[in-house]
Amino acid sequence: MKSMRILHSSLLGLIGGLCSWGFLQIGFHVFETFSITVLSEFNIGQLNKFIYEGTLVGLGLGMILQARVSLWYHHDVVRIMSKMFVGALTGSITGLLCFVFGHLLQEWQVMPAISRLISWTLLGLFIVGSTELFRSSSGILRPQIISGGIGGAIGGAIFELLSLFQMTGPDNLFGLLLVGFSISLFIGLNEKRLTSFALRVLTGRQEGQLFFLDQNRFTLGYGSQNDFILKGYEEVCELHARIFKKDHQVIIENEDVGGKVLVNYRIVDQQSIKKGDVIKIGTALLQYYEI
Amino acid sequence: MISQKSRCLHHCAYSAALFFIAFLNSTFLFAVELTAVQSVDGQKEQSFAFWWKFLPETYFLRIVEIPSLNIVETLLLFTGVLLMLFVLWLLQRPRVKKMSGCGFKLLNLGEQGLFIPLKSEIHSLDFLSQIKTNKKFRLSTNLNRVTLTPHQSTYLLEDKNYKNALLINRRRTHRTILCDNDVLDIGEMILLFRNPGIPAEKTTRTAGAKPQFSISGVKPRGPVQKITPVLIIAGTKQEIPLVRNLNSIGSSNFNDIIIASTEIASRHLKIYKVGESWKIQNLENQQTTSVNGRRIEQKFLQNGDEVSFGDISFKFVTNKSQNKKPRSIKKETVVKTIKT
Repeated sequence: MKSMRILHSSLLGLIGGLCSWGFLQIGFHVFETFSITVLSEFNIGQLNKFIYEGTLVGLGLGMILQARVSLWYHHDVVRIMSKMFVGALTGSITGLLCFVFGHLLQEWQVMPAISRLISWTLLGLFIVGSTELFRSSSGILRPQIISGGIGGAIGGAIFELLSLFQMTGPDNLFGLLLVGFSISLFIGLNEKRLTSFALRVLTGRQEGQLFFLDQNRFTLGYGSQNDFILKGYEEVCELHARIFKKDHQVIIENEDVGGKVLVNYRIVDQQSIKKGDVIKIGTALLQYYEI
Repeated sequence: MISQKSRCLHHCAYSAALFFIAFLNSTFLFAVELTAVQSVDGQKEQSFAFWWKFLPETYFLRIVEIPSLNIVETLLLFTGVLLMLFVLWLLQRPRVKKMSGCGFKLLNLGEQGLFIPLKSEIHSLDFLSQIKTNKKFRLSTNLNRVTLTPHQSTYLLEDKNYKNALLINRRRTHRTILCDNDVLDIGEMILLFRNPGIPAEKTTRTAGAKPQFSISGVKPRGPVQKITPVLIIAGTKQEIPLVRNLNSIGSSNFNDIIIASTEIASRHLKIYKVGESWKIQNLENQQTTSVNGRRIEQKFLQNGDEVSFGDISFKFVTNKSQNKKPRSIKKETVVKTIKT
């Protein structure tokens, strides 16, 4: 299942790269039309150089990578769309800043290849950082951001090598695809490294779904702001329980006085959970696994 | 010979230098020419001169110089991207397998949720040892003494050998009606009972809880004190007060609480007062007593403890407040301490 997650993540990276490429294509036409109709005196070719390219690359990658977790946990469409919107916004700002910085480096006599590599690295770092920032209550996980940076750097290096050997495909399509793939692959690999526990839903609408415990803290409930959303179950509160890691132990805590959390059919307020434990939240039955 | 070679090298060096200078000159002249042309043409672009400083002519990424796709093709590409995302989203949809009848689902990791259908006749759990699994699980040796009897669209599970490590919903039980989503631990095997026809809330476990025999305790002389603990028999509302400091329980007439059942030993257990607390002790080696699903020999009882032995279970209730404080109060005290 962990390998499936890496595959899912990598595929999304490829889609992110393709999306960036598409945005660059449509962006050119939009800016061209805009320049002819609105700013006829303004040479849009100048804007085409680095600013909007960076913005559109960030837009495509950020949009897909932000929705990665929601797509994996099969969240509802509204949540996925809102995540994509936030990702597009943060990604485009990130892309703009990273590539402007890269351009400034070039102005300061830094080798173009090095400055571009720095831009890609920063893009990977900040896109994954913004993903972590908006990931509900799990908090920011530094290794994840670092893995995004490594992915960005390796993707950038591949991009440069492809340019060097003129194997970039139409308008650097292959380069962009590989940058997206590299960033998401490294995120996936890092998640695999961190995931050693999971909760499996045993009953109801979400039967068979696996919640990977790859962060330090999680929330459970029916509310869409939770990390693990339990929908279609009775007696589940909006924010029902919290799971966190402390001293090499995984602890479950009841968050709502009105709701009950049962571990092995005993009501608990706070309890460390072990392999094979059965957790009952409302009518939902979950099993804790070490994987 | 040496002088000829060095002369040759000198000539080569000179010619290379001349070629380089000529190349530079031509580029420079071309650049100057271009600048001149631009300066003539660029009179009207002066208003944007400030921006040109930040937007130089050099491409940074060189991603799009002439786009490969037109607008329609790009829109088609985005439709394809959305379709791919939709497919990935759809693939992650939890797939609930529809089951036709009652059965057990294997919950052990690596068994892919194997479903074991149950026959609609009386049979023992011995068949579990013959199921092919990826990992060999250690099971109880006397599973042939655990029977499943069809009972009102579900099953009645009876364990006639108390030494079996059989837990239902993580509690030791000898006789119970199985409800949908009950978790059974049989040795190392973890099973989930599935009965899609009847949801758990519609099933009552009366057959397992309601005793079919008489229970009589010591009749108190006069009114019972509020602090006197009581035993509430599961499945009934019968309450037996513990009026004596030492109460023996069993099937023989010499006990303080007499339970006429063949599943209970003549002198099965005793509950006695130790200081302000109450203690339970199993008296029969061949029979077992469990508190909250755990087999015990002797244990101090807490308010609300569930005691089960033979085919009966009861709740130990005392009016003395021994419970932990509620969570909300705990939080308030924490807040108060922080404020102080």
